[in-house]
Amino acid sequence: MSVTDPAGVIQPRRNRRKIASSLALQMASAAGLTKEAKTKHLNAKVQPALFAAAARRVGSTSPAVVIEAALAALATQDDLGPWLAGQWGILADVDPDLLGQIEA
Amino acid sequence: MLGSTGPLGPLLLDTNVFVNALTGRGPRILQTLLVNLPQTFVSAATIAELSWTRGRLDPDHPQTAKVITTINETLARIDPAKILTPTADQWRLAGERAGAAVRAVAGGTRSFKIAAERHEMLNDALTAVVASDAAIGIVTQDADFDLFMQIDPALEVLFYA
Repeated sequence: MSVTDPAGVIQPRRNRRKIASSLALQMASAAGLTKEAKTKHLNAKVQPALFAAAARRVGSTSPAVVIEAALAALATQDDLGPWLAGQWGILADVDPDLLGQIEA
Repeated sequence: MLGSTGPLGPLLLDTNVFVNALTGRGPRILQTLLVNLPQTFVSAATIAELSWTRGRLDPDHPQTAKVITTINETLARIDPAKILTPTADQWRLAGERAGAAVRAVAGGTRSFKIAAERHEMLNDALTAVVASDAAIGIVTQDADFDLFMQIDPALEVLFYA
């Protein structure tokens, strides 16, 4: 499916969930985490509903694909958001005129 | 406004998120969102806007060093792999969309005759294009992104006020 924007450019609609999991894999790849051969064997029991929910997000019911996407999502997490929240108001006492220079 | 439906995937923080967090001027719901973000992206345009501070602030002001130190620490916290840098095609598309957005509102309450306004719109367009192409939602308080959502229906934006 596609839509046309006011400038006449055709833009494809995308499956955000699949792209998000693909994005994590791309970042894992960029970080060099997927260069090696797949030699690590995993054997685990998980709740079917948990697996089904993850499979829907990935767009595959293959355990290997789902596990790889889940591991990539975990491995590429960062702490910028929580860190920034922890810095809340650290510049609150700064002269407003000086802060105004940031936007001028 | 941050709604009851949570973000669908990874999020990109617009420049105003950093400024409002560091100055404490943002709403508490923004802080709550940040605490719970496992994966955060930033546009290269935001890197430039934050870095602007390092060159712009009055070096003789007694608090400049504190601000710049904080900005430097913030920039250092951003994972380089999470910076979305526009390609030549994305620059072209951003220019086109910034122009379309300005055309849509120019002549009303805004003139866009000041270069800084046009640059800001172009930076916003760059952020919108790289985020949309990566299927990453944007967190911002900048109403201009509403224009870009109208131009690009695939763009997802979480507004806070």
